[in-house]
Amino acid sequence: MFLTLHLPAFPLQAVLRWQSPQPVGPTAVIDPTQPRQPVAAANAAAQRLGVRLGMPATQALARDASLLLLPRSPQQEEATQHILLQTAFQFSPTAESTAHGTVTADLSKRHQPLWMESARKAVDDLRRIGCTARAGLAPNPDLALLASHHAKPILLITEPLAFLRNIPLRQLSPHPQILHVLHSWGIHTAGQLTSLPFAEITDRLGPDAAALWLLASGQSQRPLNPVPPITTWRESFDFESPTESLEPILFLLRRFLASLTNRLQSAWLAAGRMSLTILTENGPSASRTFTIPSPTTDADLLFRILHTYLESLQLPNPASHVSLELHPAPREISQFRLFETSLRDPNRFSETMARLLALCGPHKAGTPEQGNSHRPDHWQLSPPAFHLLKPPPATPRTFSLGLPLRRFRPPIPATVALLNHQPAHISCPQLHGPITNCLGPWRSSGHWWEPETSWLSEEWDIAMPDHSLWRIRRTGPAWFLDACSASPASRQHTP
Amino acid sequence: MTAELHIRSAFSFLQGASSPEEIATEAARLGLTTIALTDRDNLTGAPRFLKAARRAGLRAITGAELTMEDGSVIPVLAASLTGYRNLCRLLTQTKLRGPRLSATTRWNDLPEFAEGLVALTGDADGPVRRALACGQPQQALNAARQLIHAFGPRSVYVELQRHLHRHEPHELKALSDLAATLGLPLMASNGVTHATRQRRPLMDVLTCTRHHTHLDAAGQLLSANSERCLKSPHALQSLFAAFPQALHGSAELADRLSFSLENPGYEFPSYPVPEGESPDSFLRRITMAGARSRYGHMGRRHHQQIEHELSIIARLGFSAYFLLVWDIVNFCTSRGILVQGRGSAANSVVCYALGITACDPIACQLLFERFLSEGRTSWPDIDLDLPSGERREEVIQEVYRRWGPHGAAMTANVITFRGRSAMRTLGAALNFPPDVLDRFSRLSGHGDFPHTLELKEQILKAGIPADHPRLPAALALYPQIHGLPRHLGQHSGGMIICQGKLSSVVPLEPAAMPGRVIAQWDKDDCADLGIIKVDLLGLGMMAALQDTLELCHDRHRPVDLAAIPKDDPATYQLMQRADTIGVFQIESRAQMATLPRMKPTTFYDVVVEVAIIRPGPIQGDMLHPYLQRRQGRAPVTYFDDRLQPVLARTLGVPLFQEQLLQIAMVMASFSAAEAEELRRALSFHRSPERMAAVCTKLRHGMAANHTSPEIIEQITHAVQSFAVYGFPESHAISFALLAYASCWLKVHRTPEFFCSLLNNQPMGFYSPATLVQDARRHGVKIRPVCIQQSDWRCRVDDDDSLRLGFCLLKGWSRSDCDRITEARRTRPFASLADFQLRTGLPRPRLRSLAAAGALAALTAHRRSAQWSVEVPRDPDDLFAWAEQQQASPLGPMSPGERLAADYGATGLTLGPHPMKILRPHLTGITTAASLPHTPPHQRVRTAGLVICRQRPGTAKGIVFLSLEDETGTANAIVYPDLYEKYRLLIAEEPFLEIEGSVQTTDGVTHLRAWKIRPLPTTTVAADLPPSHDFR
Repeated sequence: MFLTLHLPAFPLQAVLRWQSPQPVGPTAVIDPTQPRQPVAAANAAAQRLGVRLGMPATQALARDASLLLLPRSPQQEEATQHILLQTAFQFSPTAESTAHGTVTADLSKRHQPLWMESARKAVDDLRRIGCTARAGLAPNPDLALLASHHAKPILLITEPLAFLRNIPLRQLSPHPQILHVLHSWGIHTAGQLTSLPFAEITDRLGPDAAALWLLASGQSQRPLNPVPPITTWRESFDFESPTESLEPILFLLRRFLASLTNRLQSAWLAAGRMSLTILTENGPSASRTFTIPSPTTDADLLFRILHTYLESLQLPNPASHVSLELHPAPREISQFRLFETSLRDPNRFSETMARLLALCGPHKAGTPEQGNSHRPDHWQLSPPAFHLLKPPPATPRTFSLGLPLRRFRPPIPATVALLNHQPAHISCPQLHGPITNCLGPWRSSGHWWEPETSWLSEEWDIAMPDHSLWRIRRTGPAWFLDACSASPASRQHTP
Repeated sequence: MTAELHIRSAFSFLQGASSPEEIATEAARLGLTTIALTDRDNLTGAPRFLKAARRAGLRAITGAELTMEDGSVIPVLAASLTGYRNLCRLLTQTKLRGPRLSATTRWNDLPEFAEGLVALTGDADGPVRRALACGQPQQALNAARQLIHAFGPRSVYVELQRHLHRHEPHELKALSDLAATLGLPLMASNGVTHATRQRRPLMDVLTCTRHHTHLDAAGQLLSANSERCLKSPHALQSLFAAFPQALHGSAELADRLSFSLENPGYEFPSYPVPEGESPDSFLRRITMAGARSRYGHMGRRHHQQIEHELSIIARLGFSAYFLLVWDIVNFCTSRGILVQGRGSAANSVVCYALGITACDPIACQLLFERFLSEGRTSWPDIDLDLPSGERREEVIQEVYRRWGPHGAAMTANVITFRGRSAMRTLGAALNFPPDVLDRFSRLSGHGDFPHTLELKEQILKAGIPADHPRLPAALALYPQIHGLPRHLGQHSGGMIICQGKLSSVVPLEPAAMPGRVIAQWDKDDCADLGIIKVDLLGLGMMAALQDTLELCHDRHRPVDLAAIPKDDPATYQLMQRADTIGVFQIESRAQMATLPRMKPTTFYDVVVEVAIIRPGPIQGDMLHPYLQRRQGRAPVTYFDDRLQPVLARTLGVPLFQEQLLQIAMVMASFSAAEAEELRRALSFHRSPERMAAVCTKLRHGMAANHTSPEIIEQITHAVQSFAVYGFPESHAISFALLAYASCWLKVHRTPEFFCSLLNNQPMGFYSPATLVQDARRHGVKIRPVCIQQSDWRCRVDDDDSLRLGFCLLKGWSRSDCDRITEARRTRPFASLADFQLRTGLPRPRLRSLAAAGALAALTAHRRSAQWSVEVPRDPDDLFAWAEQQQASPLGPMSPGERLAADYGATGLTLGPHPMKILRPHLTGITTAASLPHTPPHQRVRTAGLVICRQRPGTAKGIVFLSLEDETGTANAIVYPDLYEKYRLLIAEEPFLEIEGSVQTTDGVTHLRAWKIRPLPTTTVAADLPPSHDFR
């Protein structure tokens, strides 16, 4: 005996699983990735208005302007499919992911009196987490699948032929080309198909059609295709109306973590990395991957990392979507090498870094790296990656750029007098006096596409009477002392 | 230093950000005297650059950057005509060798084409600086030696550029040392990629597009600063003060480059006239012969006009051009290809006599000066209409054959950044979300939806918030990129021809279409540089007409198109009842709504009908005054009595460009040349100054002729507004000839006409499904596709029936059909097994035949055929053909199933119209045929398949819907408020039910819609032919 659990209008259920309250009016899910955004699922109210699967979104809206259209969410579908599988695994170690929103479990090892009870429990469990399921029980997997589509909410098939007679062929998931041929013949139901001779059908349309005929007659036998253990641990949620406060997000994340770490523990794994994505309405999204230096399943620790980050996060627009994925890793990682400095508690260091970032702001703590920009002295901070130490990338040989520099960070404001458009005199706490020689200007500018972050720079190399060499920069009307060369004369002035 | 010799314009396609005109204007403002355009691998911008430079008082040098096989880039400049020719030939050789969009020049090719060219070492992409940047001075030396080897030591300059980058001093020193080592001269340039500093952001955007990235990720791919702009001589002097020899080198090089594109060495193709004849005398001889043949007896007026035209043609030196066009027309005639000159050429009696055009300009009182006048310097424009498809291609290939692959080419069509493409490029670079760009595109105007949104409003509506930090950049960049060249396309029909090698005059490159070669200049550039052009345009209706004539000839009821009577009552009755589906020009909804009011009774009425349903006359509010006067509801008046001879034939309403010329000649005593100048000044590309000047002249002329100030104002206003959209009368006559001929054939050769229309799809306004329904309404029996009878094309079986061909089956190719017709040639098919074995058609084709009912001759019914074609046949079984067909367990199709199968297989049905099947399920629905008989203002409901949705820009937001049912077509008017309410319904639903009130004016019936509902979707909805929507 086989048990099939099926979530009708699966894309819609996946999207609505976390919605509260549930929409009561006509609602449909569309696939925004497809041309003309066809309807992927619709509730009963929408179907009553004539909204059909595959109908373009514009045509569906034309049926009723009050129709609520929601985009399909592959992430939530994946998470819901995992939940379905986990439910099936409660009753049998052999379960297959039959289709989107459908799983099948082999109950042959369970006693007959437990079959209906298993189906009832599965439907109840799924109802508790907000999913409306149907369960089909039948002697073979394909029949169980069909039964699940017709169950209210549970259907046990005892007379296959009577059940199958008026089942539309489309529900048997035939090969599209075979279905096309059969439809062109005027064959639309399983009963019509089985009224044609099996040998003639096999002769004409091949083995796929033969399998379809057997399926339509309730005689198909196929082994389940058991799914391997789950390897992704992800939860996500789309807010019906975007949220401006942190609490709902934290609430969700705590629930996500509790569920995900439990599942990880049962698989003898721990979270090595954690990816958080928050999408905002019509604006930039926030996405961050946290490396957990010492993989763990401690939900509190993981939550603290997220909480610290979120406290400092300022989103320009309300959040519309949040997803969390735990990337598993073995519980222990390799130890540091002999001459590398080890951290006593890598997780604590990571947490400290997160707090620093929360205090200082994003990108204001970490490892400095050269930036991909023409901006002079452009660098950026990246999160420390202790386990990914690499030699610096080889740079192509190019023209020598002169003496080594010692940069003043931040640059020192200076007053510069010009003569014939060239610097002639400088005055600042570190340096004062006439400029004896100068080279420049070197101009650069960039990020013009955003007024607040655009920059314009004009650099000069100058020499002072004591032969010390300096670099000065003009940004707008302001002058700065940027750097001094590493010559002995310059070093005397170095602050 | 007053020369800038290394400039890339936007014609470098994503590697330059300014138009040639902008470069020339800015260069003149800065005080430069000589500028060189060196676009990347092309000379497309050179003619516009020359024109702009000339206007700005600058000397324009021609050159190009060559992308070499190793990825380096060498700028070369044409020092002489030989150098220019070599450059064109080198670019042609490179481009024709391919690959099409990424061809590179080979180092080995350079010596052959080096004469007359000067090479620079180039910018950072040049071979020398590329090696220096990698710290390989020896490699740099070798690269310079390679250039010397190719171009010679006197023709290689080491180019210094200064963009105020920090590494420059080292680089300049290295280049200077290299020049000294090899004894090469230095030259200075700024490697200009944009005319002004303000264009640098646009350059960055184009860079992003080229690298398929966006500004946030582009990093060091972007410009470091804005210094690659044009600079004044003073600025260049101070930049290169440390290298005076480079400044001197630039000046010396500028002096040395003596070539000017003003004379690109184009030679007009000569026509081989008989010995003892000159082109002028030969043209005279064949014109006279042609005129005698056309007119029979020629009167004094004919002689005078021919003499007048020939003398002007001879004086302007255009005789050979007429001979050349005559020659092409002769070729077409000899091959039986229909050809007809269109446009202003129809104003010429010489063209008429030579057989180039089909209407008699003397009988039609056409003004020759609209075509050619004394003051003209450019070649006259003769466009030839040819049957579209293979016959037109035959003519094009003949032109290639005659003048050689390098002697003729299609002209280019420069595709520019416009609304959608401009914002898509900008938005992608500014990293706007794709859905925002999609929404922007959907909000853009198209076809019948004129663009009415302001740019900012449109961007905001697309989803960019008003305070988006990048919104100002988008708003600033949009007008900058708008109109800049994007890529090179192919003109629809323009061909240029040259004596000798055209590739020595303009670089040629392969077109996307196999067997075609295009020149790098567009038609206007060719005209500006005096290159002859002939437009060989394809018309679907010409192909249909030719097929009709051939069918008539084959069926022994031939028709001479030139001899069909122009006063056939049946033909005019067809027009008067707007029964014009399938005919030329007057088949659109708007034309059909006007015909019953216009009630054409003469050929000239057809000319007016063709010309009047145009945006110009409608927007200029000429349609209604004309119709009112025609129906006698308004008096015929004239601006001035002196204009009566000019405007009498259009009832006092100016409709044609010729009338504009004549108004100026009569009222302001303009000469023909002055009148033509007035028309050109007021045409689409008008400049305010030029327009003001000619209008002043017109006013003065009229005042001098004692015209009252009010009349002067009236005429000036009418002339100004009308000149933009006015239609040449000659063109209207040419089109009206085709329109009349197609109507005549529809009346008198109905099966042949519809058969040809079906064989030339897609064309015209209506789908084959609508044409078939119309043919049946005209008594033509349409027989289905049949494997025993049908050919590839549709065929006329007898005087009232035609047989559909395999060409109408979806997914079929000619070779599929050939398998059937080849096998059938030996003997008819005896059985389905015999058919399958002898044709060997694949299963999908067999299914298609079975579904279409094409196997009816061999099977009991379609389902039986469908069942049987699935039986696998073994070609090695000797007796397989004799297998008895087994009885099918499948029942016959229902009418609805047959309808779905028809639309699925052919896109049309020979069974009942879908509406006839739906009809029993509908109550109280008025048919299209009974709608005209319904009393005005009565509220009714009608329903049908939507075959046309239109929202003309001239209709103030009103939408017109055409619904087809089994009895005909009903037209509905939807007012803007109702349209907004049912917008999606109207746009999406294939079948509609419309409730509204009947409106009848002058025999034209419309339904003014009040309520719109969808009809239940039928199974055929997915296979329905596309409607003619919003075009």
